[in-house]
Amino acid sequence: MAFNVLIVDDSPAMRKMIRRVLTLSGLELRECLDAGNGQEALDLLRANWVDIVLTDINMPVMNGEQLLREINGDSLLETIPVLVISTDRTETRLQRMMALGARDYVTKPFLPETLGCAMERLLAGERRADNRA
Amino acid sequence: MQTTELRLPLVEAASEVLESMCFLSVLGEISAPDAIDDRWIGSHLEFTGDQGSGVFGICVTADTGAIITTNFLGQAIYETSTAQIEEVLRELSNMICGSFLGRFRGDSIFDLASPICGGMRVAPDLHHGVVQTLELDEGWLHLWLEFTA
Repeated sequence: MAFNVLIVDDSPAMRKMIRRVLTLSGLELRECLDAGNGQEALDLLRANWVDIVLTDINMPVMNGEQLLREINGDSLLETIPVLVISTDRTETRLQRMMALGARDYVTKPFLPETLGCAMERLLAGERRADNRA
Repeated sequence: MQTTELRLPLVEAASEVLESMCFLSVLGEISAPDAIDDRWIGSHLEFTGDQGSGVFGICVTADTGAIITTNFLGQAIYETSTAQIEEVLRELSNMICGSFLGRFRGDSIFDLASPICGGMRVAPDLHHGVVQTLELDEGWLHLWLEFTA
């Protein structure tokens, strides 16, 4: 089964790097969309079918926390699993993002297999509280 | 605060980021380069938190920047532009800083500002910080950190 993925990060380099990791992970990707902030992500989510969202936290215009709130407050989007990818490895931040509805949290830097495994789990419908590298 | 407290987590953070994201190894610390001129490319960012604040920066030669970028993006060196090198260095400084803060003050939340490329704040007048140069298996990484609790 092929999946549609949305990568949300204000760094084009990081978006390209994540896309490469996903391609190498063996996951079957149908479409890989990307957005530079939460607002662009919402616009894409409302116009396209997406199976999973990978998002950074610190972004201009709309950050990852606001994006999570918007997704979980929208009955058409709330079932889409969101995986947070962030440099912030503090327990407080992780708990805050999970409380806002994130399904998983991967810290940057990450090993390619760490991200691939987290994606597989979420796409299989599993949720895990802590798989930080 | 002793600067020795900062050194180990900083080297560990840089090593983790370079090895996992750029496939480069840190071979050890070396003395600072004699001169850092406009052939070097740098990125720095400010951070604030309830347990301190500061500034962190990195700097590499253009050649090392190109190697880091090609490894990070998985592309050929001839495809790599200066803009991409700066973009990757910004991301690298963000990740090393975040990794360092998680190791050094893991029980606190910090807000990291957007990294800025250029403006060459290399080895500024540090009162509460460290300057280190790391030898990589391909090139050098010069980094500095000021942390005020």
